[in-house]
Amino acid sequence: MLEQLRKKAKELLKNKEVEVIIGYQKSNNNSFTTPCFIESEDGVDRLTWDEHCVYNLSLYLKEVKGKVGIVAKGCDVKSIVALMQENQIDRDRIKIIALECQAQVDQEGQILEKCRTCQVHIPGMYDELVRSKTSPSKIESKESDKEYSVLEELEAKSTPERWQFWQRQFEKCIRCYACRQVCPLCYCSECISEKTAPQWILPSPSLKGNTTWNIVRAFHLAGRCIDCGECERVCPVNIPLRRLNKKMEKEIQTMFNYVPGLDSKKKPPLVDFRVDDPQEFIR
Amino acid sequence: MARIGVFVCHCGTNISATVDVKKVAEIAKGFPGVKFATDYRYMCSEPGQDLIQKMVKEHNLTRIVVAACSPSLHEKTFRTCTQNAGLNPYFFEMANIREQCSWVHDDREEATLKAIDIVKLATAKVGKNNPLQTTFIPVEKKVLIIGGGISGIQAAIDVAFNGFKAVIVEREPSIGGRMAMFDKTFPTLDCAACILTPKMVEVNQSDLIKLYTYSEVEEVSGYVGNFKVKIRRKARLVDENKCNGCGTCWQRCPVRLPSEFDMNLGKRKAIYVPFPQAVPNVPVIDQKHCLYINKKKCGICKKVCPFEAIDYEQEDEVIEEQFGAIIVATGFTMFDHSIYGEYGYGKYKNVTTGLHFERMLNSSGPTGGKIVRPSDGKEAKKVVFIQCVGSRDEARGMPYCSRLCCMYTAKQALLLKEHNPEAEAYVFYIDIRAAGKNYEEFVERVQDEYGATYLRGRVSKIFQRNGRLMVRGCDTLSGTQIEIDADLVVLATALIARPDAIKLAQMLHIPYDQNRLFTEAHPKLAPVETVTTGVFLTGACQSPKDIPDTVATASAASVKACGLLSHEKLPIDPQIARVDVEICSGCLACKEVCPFGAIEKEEIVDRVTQQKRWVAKVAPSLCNGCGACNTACRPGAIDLDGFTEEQIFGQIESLTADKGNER
Amino acid sequence: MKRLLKKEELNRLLLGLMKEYDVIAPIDEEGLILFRPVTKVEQVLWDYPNSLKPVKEFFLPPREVLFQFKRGKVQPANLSLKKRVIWGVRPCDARSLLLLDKVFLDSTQDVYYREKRKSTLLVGLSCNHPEKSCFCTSFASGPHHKEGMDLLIADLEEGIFLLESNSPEGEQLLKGRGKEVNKIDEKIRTKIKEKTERKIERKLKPSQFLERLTNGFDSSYWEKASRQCISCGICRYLCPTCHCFDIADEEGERVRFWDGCSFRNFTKMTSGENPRFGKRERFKQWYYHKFGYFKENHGVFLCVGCGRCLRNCPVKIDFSEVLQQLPAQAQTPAREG
Repeated sequence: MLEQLRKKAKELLKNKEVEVIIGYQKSNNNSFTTPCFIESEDGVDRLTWDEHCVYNLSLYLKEVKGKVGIVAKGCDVKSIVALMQENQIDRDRIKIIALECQAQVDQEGQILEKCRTCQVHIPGMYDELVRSKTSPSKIESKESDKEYSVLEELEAKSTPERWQFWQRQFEKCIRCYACRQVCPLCYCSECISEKTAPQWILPSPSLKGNTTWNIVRAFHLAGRCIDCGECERVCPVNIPLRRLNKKMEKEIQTMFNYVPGLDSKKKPPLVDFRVDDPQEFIR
Repeated sequence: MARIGVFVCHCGTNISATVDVKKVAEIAKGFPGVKFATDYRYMCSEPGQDLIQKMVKEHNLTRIVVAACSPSLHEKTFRTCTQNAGLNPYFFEMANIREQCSWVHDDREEATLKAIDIVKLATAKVGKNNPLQTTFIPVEKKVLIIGGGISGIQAAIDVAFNGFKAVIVEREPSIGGRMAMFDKTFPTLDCAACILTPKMVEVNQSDLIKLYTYSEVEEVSGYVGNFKVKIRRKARLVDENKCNGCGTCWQRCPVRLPSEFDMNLGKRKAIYVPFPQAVPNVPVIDQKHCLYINKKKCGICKKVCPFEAIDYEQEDEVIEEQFGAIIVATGFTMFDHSIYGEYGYGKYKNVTTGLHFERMLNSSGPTGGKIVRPSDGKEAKKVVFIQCVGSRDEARGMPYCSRLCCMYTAKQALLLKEHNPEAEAYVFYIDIRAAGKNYEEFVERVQDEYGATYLRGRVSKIFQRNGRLMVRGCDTLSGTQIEIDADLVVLATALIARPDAIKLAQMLHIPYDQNRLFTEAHPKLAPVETVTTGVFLTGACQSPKDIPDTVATASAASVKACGLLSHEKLPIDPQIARVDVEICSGCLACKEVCPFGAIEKEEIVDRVTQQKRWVAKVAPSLCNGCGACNTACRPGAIDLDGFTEEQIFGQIESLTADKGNER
Repeated sequence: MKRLLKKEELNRLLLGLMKEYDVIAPIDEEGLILFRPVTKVEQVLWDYPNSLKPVKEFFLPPREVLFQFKRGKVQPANLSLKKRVIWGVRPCDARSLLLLDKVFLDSTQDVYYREKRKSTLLVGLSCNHPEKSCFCTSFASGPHHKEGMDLLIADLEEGIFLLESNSPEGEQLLKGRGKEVNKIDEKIRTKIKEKTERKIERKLKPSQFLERLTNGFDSSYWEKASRQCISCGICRYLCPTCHCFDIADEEGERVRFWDGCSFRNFTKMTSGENPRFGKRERFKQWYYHKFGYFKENHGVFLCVGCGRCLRNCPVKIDFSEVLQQLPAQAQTPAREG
């Protein structure tokens, strides 16, 4: 797969179809990988592909100008779709080198929670596709029908219990905003948390401000979050943010039969206005 | 720091009976920024307004709060008053302590406390009000009228009479609409053509009215005063400028087809004018059936045309024009009765509709004015009329009453008897609704003078027996079941919205109801306006209307449109959405949720990065200040002037600050 | 003073401290290693790499109320604090406090910081199992350094600990405990120390930094180096020496709280101007502050080599490499941002 990936990347650079390729390279910090930006053909040998390529590189698409190639997994492609829906990137200037991905692992080598129920091992949109040669053994063992099982424990709790759970989580928040910064869909040039007049969210790391921040972020991602799980991965204090977003995803799916990141032509339900909306008040 | 003056109105006893207005004023004196507070018997009276102006001078006030009735009644009064006092008119807030307090509460103490809170909110808000300026937009002095039926025709005539230009866009090859199909009109029995054609001719001859027949509106953008409209002029394959309507072509055309205008009871050619009085009197080639177009054979029309007006190569043309106002006059269509099993699912040829009957009545119609059975062309003597077909039927048809069926059925029964006094007319009805000038008298006359038999009840089944059409129904007044062997059954089918009404509504950003009928801005006080400023409604596209009502709404809509056009420029309410482009990230969620199409994307150069990027832009003349975009904007880049986040926050804080600390 | 203590004796020392002081020590809190107030000896971790958050949070708290106000009346914050001990501080973190002292105590004294500092004893724990990301030896520190501590505990393994005082208060704590330290013990200690130091493979050459930074201010290098950075605050917040803060009024309280130069709004002015808007500028600032400006102003680098920035970076940026690879010569200036 790696050979093919490098070959395709090389071709894109050679034919001047892209000026830069965003991909993964080995990190000299440890055995993991780190995002890299390759601008010349001889740089493509730096590209790597293994189960440590956790990053959602679509995060960088907005800030890299010009024609750009991106190495993307199925989940990453979903965020590219969402970014297109929201006018943030121009599909014409992007070449997607999609990779068939079986699963990614965390620092301890455990398969990531999101990968266990993954339904986009083969990305839904791409310009080039690199298929896996190995048998999809890992994929078969996945529990794709248990998409929302991660929520069961919390959903079983009573409202006060659930509130208590989240209060304990939000208490830990240090407001480093890594969740926001790593999120491809948190692209606002000024975040609502930075607004001072009026101040929607208290800026200091207090329980009150932290609660508002995390809940507002979940709401701003409702119907948009494509579940790359990056926010939870980077949270230095282990707040289970994916559960928040997953819950919103579930609600949106139940109410509007909509899953973000699958179809760039579809309008996200929360930013849609329809004259034929069945609810009287909206007209 | 704002210096706020609070004026609490008694409204006679409307407020003061339930709210201790003196106490409200007294307590308001203690609110932050309030420099003066008083109560007065009638704030809206002249002395009341004088008081405000006097106190502004005396206490050097910079903001005004009037605690009185609903802003929808007197906001304008006090804005003007504030302006006359030398302040920005938007440095004023109204605290509604009447509709939202005194009128809905009994407990004087509680109501007073609530009034105090309402005033507190208003003072907290007014302190953060920004000075707003009314802006103006120029007006394109031309009206677009969509639909060329009687409604659109009347509207065009009225617009032209007022000295403004009008353009009628009509989908069919001729204007005239449904009315052109009618024989006579109730209750006066005027010949429909006789009263319609002069108007059609007037439209055709007016220098101020332009006709685009066989054309459709394809796209509408812009806003009041400046609508940009794309109109598709479908290829007629006949040059309108060359043709003089001599008729040689259609006389010689070999293709014979059912005539839509005659409800398929008569024939037309593949090149045709729908009816003799058509305006413009220019034929159109039916491309689906023309032999030349389909098989490259024939070509007779081209050969015989003395004016070389036939142009087989002609293509659709899309033109764009600007308009100051739009009048929607798209009319209605008929309910399809074939869903009703009891009426034979549309299988029986001799079960027809009111429109078929109209064509038969017409002396220049397909039967030459004879009432016949479509099955064999023999004269129909026994005719059963059935009312409310598809109307007042929530389950299978429309929930509403179509309003004119009672009348036209009565008319048709009468005309049947006039055509053939021997004929028998039976009318099945649920209720007779004849509310109109001389309407009830007319229905009485049909029964008493012309002997039509009215049966109150529903028809349970139409079936065939021995080659005769049998109508089985009940007469609930005598309590008997009856069977009538009819020559002809005429169904008064419901008037319904056109199937593509929704598409047009979305184009124009006007709402429609569950029956796809366009919705007026206010059912009583703005019956021909829509919520989109500059778009007006007339005729049956809004609800079933008879000709007098249609003409009345057409005139009303044109007055409204001309009113707009009589201004050189139009003021826009400055209480609209405003985008902070520094914050806007260009996701355009606002654009998607805007019901008025008031937001578009704009490319700007970022102040900091010096790079181009997209942001949202509000068209001030389209924005109605509804606030939908505010809520959709994640970073809070959109604010609503007059209801800014700061103002709302100020209000919330004023109410919660102290209470929060008590907990 | 140096004494040799067995594990039980050490536990007794800790138990004794708990009676007299508020003790703060590393614990495992739902998988996170954090310094927290403790009341039981068993809670305290002995063998741990290093805490997630540095101990600066007890001197420059993430959120600190400076004073309260209501309707024009001001209520100053209560600065008095019960005497406390921070137990188990690693040498790198202890040293970081000396660097923070330069900011908060050298010229203008910050009373909020000073009072906390004054009422706190630091009992350190030497480091026998450094992480791959550690590089304290590059910054005048080491796994067994006692700088900044009142008392250092060196783990000689097999349940024996060598305790070394570094202040009169520290000496007071040691008095009458354990037994004398002999030469063999010293030797074992030196051996462990050297072994640990050898484990720290990451070596930086700080002596070149200042010059390189001076030459490289406009270098296009920063554009490339900063590309991966996602501009979060993890490295800044978890750094034991980063000390930038913001001040705001929150519901009747004037609070100061952590802020960081990686955030867009850090340098945003009321006018809307923002001298460090670009990612490159913000990324660069960190290095210039730590290894440029601070060195120029205070004579030392503002880094203790704890490696938290490396360990916790969401995109695994190797911050030490960024400095090492900074070109020695000035390069083509990139566009001004």
